[in-house]
Amino acid sequence: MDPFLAALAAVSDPFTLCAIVAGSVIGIIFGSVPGLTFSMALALVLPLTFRFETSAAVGMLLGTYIGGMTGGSVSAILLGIPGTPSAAATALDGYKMTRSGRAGLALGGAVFASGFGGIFSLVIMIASVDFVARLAIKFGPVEIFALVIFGLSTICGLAEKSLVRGLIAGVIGLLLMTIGLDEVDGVARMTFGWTPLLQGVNLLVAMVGLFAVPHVIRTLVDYRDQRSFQLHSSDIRSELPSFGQLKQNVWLLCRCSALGTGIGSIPGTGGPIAAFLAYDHAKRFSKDKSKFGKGSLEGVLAPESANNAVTGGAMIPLLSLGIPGDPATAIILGDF
Amino acid sequence: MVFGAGLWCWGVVVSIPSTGDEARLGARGFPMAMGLLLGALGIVLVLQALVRPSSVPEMGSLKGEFRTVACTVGLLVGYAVLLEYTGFLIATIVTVAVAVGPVLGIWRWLLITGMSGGLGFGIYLILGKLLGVYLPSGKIVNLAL
Repeated sequence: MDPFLAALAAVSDPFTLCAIVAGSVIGIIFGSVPGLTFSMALALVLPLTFRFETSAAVGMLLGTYIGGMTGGSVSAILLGIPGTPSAAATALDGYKMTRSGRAGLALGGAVFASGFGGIFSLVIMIASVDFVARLAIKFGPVEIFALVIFGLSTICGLAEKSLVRGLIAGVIGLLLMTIGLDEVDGVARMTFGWTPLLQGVNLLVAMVGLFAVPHVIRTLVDYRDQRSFQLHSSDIRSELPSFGQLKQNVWLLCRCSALGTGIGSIPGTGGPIAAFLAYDHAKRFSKDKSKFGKGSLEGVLAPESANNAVTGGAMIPLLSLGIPGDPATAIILGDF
Repeated sequence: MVFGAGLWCWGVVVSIPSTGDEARLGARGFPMAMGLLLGALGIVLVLQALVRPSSVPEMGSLKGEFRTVACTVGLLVGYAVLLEYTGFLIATIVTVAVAVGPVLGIWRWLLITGMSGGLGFGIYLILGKLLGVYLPSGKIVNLAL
């Protein structure tokens, strides 16, 4: 109990609290702008923390990390363009909610689910850091491959009208990811001698393009057909889900947060897999599956709780074994 | 889709060197397998279309859709080329001006100037100056961003 109280006293310091708030704001800004990542925000914030006390420095970095993960949902919900790859699943229903005039509820739900997922994963982290770290470290290439295949199986759940088209989209994604330097043999694949392609297709850039370009085309078609959709500032009110909605979804939030914590604790995995698995899980176990993809609140709560739970999960191997699970935790490790 | 898969497989054979050892999968293995899978899925799609032909949309609406897609792709390609030669600031201002004027057909000069200049300089100041994010500079015009 003593370390807990000591940590609480350190965090209660006004400067530490300010550092956490500043880090969260920076993270949310970077996360909400498509193209800017929270890893980039962490890299920019890191030099600032060198002069801080340890608790303030770690607080600011963690605030940036968690804020960035949450910020990705802002543009995913309001524009249909995920700010981070982890928010891609949120865009599926979040943007539909915005188009149906429920942007405030979608944002409020995303913030609540993010907070719930983050706190849930931190509690799990504190309670079971040794056990989960030992379990996670046993995940070798075979287990991670199986997990990725499991993640890809969500295509079956997401491809509603045509499974073949869903599979084609998945295969095209896999094809694009093979472009660049082969990690095993070090051979250039499909670069045709063009040096910039050696680093492959950047996931975030591809995701922004895949979500933004169809959005631009849809907006132009709507404008041409005089069906332009305009989001007024009055449409966006801060609105948290009602007690009834939360009570209805609390078990879903717990399951998705546990899923995100588990996936986050495995080095080499991350938010996008957790978010899509959670979305698929929520859809599969929903009483009304037809609402998904048309603006379902569950479709926002599930991925947001999972992708934020990844942050706590990713801290498990970092704190117990010193192994960063993703680029963001590797930057945080630099401050320890 | 089948043609695209064939093109991909041809690209794999041409651009990725073989390991020479047939027992090893090598760098070609995964892209080739995915290319073949894409071709197979394409054939399934063709067969599905033959068995259950879907209704064909009207030519008029398709023409409009194609024009919109062509405009968007043209703008993106133009922006990428301009970025390479003129850098971020000029490329962004010109592309936004073209998007508002010729593409959307809004010929209000104040709006075109304000929108393109405001967006270009706004992003330049926030990202380039305030946050220190690297913005591309051009090969011909280099504004030392």
